[in-house]
Parts: sequence; C-alpha cells; structure tokens
Amino acid sequence: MRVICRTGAVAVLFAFAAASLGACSALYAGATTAPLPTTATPTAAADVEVPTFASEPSSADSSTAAATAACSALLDNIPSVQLNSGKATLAASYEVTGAQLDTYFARMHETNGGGGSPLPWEDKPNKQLTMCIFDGDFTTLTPGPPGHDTSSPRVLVVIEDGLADLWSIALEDRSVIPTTDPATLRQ
Amino acid sequence: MLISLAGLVRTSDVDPVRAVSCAPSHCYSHGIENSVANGYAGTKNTHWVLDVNNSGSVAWAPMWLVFPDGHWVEVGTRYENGLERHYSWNCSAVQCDYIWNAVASLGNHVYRIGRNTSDNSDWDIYVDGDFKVTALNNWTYGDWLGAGYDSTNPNLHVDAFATYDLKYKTGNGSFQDWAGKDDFALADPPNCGFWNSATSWWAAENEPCV
Repeated sequence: MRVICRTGAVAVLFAFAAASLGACSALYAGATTAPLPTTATPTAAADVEVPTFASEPSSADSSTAAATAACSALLDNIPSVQLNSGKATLAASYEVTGAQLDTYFARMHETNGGGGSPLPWEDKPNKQLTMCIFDGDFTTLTPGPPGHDTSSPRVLVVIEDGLADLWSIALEDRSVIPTTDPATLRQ
Repeated sequence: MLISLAGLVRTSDVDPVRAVSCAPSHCYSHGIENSVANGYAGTKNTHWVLDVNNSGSVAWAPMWLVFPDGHWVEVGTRYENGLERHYSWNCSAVQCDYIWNAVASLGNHVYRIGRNTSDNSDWDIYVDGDFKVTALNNWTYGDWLGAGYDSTNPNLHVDAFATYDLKYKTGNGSFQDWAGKDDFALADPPNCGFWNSATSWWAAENEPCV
C-alpha cells in the first residue's frame, strides 16, 4: 500500500492525519490543519528572549487561547518540516491581522536582511491570521540549490483560512525569528 | 570530472552522474549555468503537472540565482495535491522566507529573476512578464543559475519534463541562451536528468528520463 504524505499548505481531516501520521512521519512531517480543539489552553511562550528589533510594550493578553490551540494542533505535524530528534515546542502563538504580520516581517528583515516587497498580506491588511513559532531540531523540506542548509532550530508557520504553511526558517540562530507579538509593533 | 561536495554531485560531463540519494529530505535534478563570471539574471519556461496518483505530495519546478556569498533567490511553480502555485523564496545567511505565494493558472509560465531596472539595486521576480515581488537583496551580481526539479519525497513518481528556454543576462545586456551545458546537480536515485539541449534540462523522479 502506498502511503501518501504531504508537505506544504494543505488541509487534512483530523482523522486522516491521525491515521497517516505514523507512516508519514518516517518520511517527513507534512502540513496538517486540524479542526481546532474545543478546549482552549493558556497561551504562553515556551521561552523568553530579547527581540532583535525594538517593539512596543507587550499587552498582557496579546496572544489568544485560540491561537495556542490552533498552533498546538500542529506540533506533531509542522508543515514542510521534519523533526530530527526530541520534540517540537510552541515558542509563541498569536492571532494577528495581515497588516500586523507584514509589519512583523518588515522589522525582521530590517534586522536579518532578505525579505521582499510588496509584503505578503499588503493587499489584505485586515485578514485574520494565526502566527505560530516552533522550536526544535528540524530539517526543512523546502526547495533550493543543491547542498543548501536545511537544518533549523526555529520555524514560523502562518495559518490562513484553515491552511497552515511554513513561511520563515531560522537557519542557525533561532533569535532571528523573534517571539514578539506582532500586535505590539508600531506599524 | 566528478566533484562531490557534501551530498552535492556535479559534473562537467554531459552524462548524468549516479552517486547520491535524496533521502530523506532533498531530491533534485538541476541544470546549472555558471560559466559566465560577474553577473547573472535568469529566465526559464516550464510546465508540468504531478501525476494524480501522487496527490498529497509536493514538488517544485524552481529556478534560483545564487549570489557570491551563498545567498539566493528562488522562483518557480509548486505542485501539491493537484494544485499549482507560484512561489518565491528569499534566503539570507541567517533566514529563509517565502516572499511570494500565489495561485498559478494552468499552462506554461516564464519566470524571471533580474535586477530592478529603475534603481538597479534590488532583484525583481517576474512571471510571464509581469512584476510580482522585489527580493530585497543588495548584491550587484549573481554567481550562478540553476533550474529544474525539487521534491522532498524520494517515493514520488514524476514523469520526465523539460525546463526550457533557459536564458541569462549579465549587466545591462540582453538575455541570451544558456550555453555549454555547464554543469548539473543530481540526486540519483531516485532522480534523473539530462541536457536535451543547451537551453533545456529534463528531469524526473522514479521514472526514466529518456
């Protein structure tokens, strides 16, 4: 029997994901967006670090339980990522707008280089999105020149309309993807 | 002559090299243009569709421009679950990002990475002649170009397809055909690849190339 696994932005019924996970994880962890759990859990960053760009003071409740639930549902099946050892942890999760996420990426690229313009959600600033930051011993399942670095300690996933997709990869230093709440950044 | 660099196999010979496997995470079959020093921009034309039996898997038909310090910009088509999407990655030394991700229409598409013509500073991505996104890199020239096939699943079955009309330009010159079949990179098994001409690279996975 051929086992079909997937990476990238996909939507899969939770039951299918659960049934396929064992076989698929031997190859890679695919993107899975499961129905959100009905039991919300408190949101908390798994670690605390100093952002690499200046931010406004964070509000006490800027990340929501819904974001944590949605991101936690991906922990065993992070899009386009293979876990090499240990477990993945959720470093941060926020419900954001397109404009807030664009600001986050813009600030990140000011620090790290790279990036692009126009920003991905520039034409839909009010779009409701979920941002997830995961830490772990990852290999990213992404295209690139032969021999490119596919190891990563931190990745950023965006959930849009129920589809989860890998958007940003820290190649060596996880702090290049700050856990800062995008809502606290001045636009 | 065979050169092996940390899983990368490249050769100046025309015949494909069969030396490395792509398992578990990066399968590829790429034609490479690298004989012209001091500046590259590139274009490619490609269209193919994953076998429906591979629904649920993902593969890419990429082209990228690699800068002298290893930074790179990539554009191409992503195939997943019967859907096609345009995409573009931008990778600095510390971070890789999607910078563009859009639904693609069926058919052939011409992708181009080139210098911004207005200020000659950044690098722009075009599809079918239309500007899509600026990659905010400040390097003045690229080091080499690659194009072909990528996947992360060594069990995929992808029929041979061509990445063709491969062109490059340097400086403010006009686009020219790739020439010389400079180089290629191949993970074999399960990939194969060959130069059908100096401007056409054929690739496949777990299927014959010829």
